[in-house]
Amino acid sequence: MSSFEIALTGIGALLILLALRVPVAVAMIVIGVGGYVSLAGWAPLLNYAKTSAYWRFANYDLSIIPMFLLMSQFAARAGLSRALFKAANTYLGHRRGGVAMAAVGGCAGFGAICGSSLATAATMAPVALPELRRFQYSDALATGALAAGGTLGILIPPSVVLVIYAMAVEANIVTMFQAALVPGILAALGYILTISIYVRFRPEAGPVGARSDRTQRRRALAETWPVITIFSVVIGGIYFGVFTPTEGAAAGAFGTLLFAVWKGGLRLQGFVECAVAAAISTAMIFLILLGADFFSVFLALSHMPADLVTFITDSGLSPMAVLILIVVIYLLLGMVMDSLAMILLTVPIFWPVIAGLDFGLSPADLKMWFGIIAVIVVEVGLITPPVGLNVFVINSAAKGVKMRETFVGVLPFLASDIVRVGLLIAFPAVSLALPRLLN
Amino acid sequence: MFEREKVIQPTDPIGRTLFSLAYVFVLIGSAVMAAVTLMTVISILGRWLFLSPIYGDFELAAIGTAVSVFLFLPYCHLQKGNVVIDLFLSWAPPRAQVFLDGVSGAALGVIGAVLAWRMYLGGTDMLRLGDVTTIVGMPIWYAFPFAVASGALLALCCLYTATKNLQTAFR
Repeated sequence: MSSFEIALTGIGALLILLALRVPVAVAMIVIGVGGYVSLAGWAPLLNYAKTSAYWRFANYDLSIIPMFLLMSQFAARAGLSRALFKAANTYLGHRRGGVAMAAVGGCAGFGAICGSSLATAATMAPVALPELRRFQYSDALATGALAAGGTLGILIPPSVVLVIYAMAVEANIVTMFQAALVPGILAALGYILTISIYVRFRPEAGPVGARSDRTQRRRALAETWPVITIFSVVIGGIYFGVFTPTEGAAAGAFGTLLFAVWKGGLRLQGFVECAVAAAISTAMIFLILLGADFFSVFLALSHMPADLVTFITDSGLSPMAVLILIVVIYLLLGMVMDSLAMILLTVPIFWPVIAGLDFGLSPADLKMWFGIIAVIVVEVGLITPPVGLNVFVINSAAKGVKMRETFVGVLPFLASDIVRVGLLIAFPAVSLALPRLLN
Repeated sequence: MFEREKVIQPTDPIGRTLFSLAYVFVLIGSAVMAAVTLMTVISILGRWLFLSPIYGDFELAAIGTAVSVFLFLPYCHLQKGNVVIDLFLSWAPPRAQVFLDGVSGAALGVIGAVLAWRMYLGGTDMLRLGDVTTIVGMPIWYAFPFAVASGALLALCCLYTATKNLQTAFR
């Protein structure tokens, strides 16, 4: 077998292991080890294993992950989601479909201090659902808007998946966060627009909510000051280079902890629960990172990504066609796979391909542009059937709503996602303008 | 990352011991991570207020992160925290699913054991060669006892869950 064939066999075997319920990290390590040994023998691998795990975990840039996860846990307990939803509702609630728009707005606000989509969806659901029910929104629109809104957590910085992508392609985390902001805001506006178009055809699905006057609006907006403060300090500080992303994450975790204690009544027991929950997610992510190391060492040794690049450039496919093919592969994988695992599994193969093609962008710009597109497409997987994790979270919070109904409700938002990906592909400036402006 | 199936606490002495041990590891790891976070915040404040950040805070944060991540691993496995794609086999009889979980648990156990063994050697190498971090000069081997202990505990926990799963599958 040539090394290219060994690599392809390895990828095939990996997919089989994944389908057989083998944890993603375990499958990557097993295949990485098997492939490495068949190409180079045991000795170098055993030597590599002496310190590789330590050097992978002892990484200052990656310390940001446990800190962001802690921050998300504390933010979820600080009662901030209620304030955000209320504020958005005073501005949007009187419109047709307005309460659903407010749910999306609340998710966007929460996404600005939380790096995880599932946490965003899970904290916004118990706040927004009762209100949506009170105004008799259709189950499909109510749960669909929340499931889609939850995905804003991943895109609007801070974002754990963006950190992972930046690490995988050795991009600058700061510029990645800068590049994500405009697409994130566009996503929120896109969802709101989707709702307003939807209720034009189905007015009974999203009735008008309560109207608020100016004082009520101002008061509700003032209640969200903790979120505004944390976001400005953390993200502003990172954007303008006042501190490193890891320092920003530490400050954010500390700040949200203060609000969780003050406004959310967090005590020692709750603190331990937050820490342990963050610890489990941290271990899960870092074990996959370790697996990705073994897997990509094997891939690099086989020269498969490089051969693939030559193959694709020789095939005469246009760069755009290749990019669209990759987007389609991501959409398909997203139907069954977790977003983090998907990024780590595919980037070692796809990034060299993209980097080898001419899109008329500098390598640094290309990293940002492709990264934002990849993260959006991966995040779409959170709301596509059959395994949309966000849909599961919202559905379990909304008692008595059929899963089918939530998936139907999500469809218009999926369309909005596809349009946005198209926009980003056609106009790289959407993601690249802000980093250019700031640097 | 947020919704996990509830894990039933074991009632047998071995299971109870492993669960509590893994929980103690998580608590120690969380304390280390909390300390790293607090240190980073103090370092920022120190830099702003007194123009003196904590010396070598980058290195301490990196080592602290490594130590806590290792300490988190066994508990994560026991709480079924590792990502699994269960779509394709959701139709399969529970017995078959439990069997496969047993096999993959055993595989993770072997990985934990081999890593513990290799990291033991890696740590003693670091000790012998006197490898230290660049700025504060902290000996790197300090992190390895935690890493080796966590790898070993992970292997034991996997052995336990794999045995349980296979017993269930073949009962």
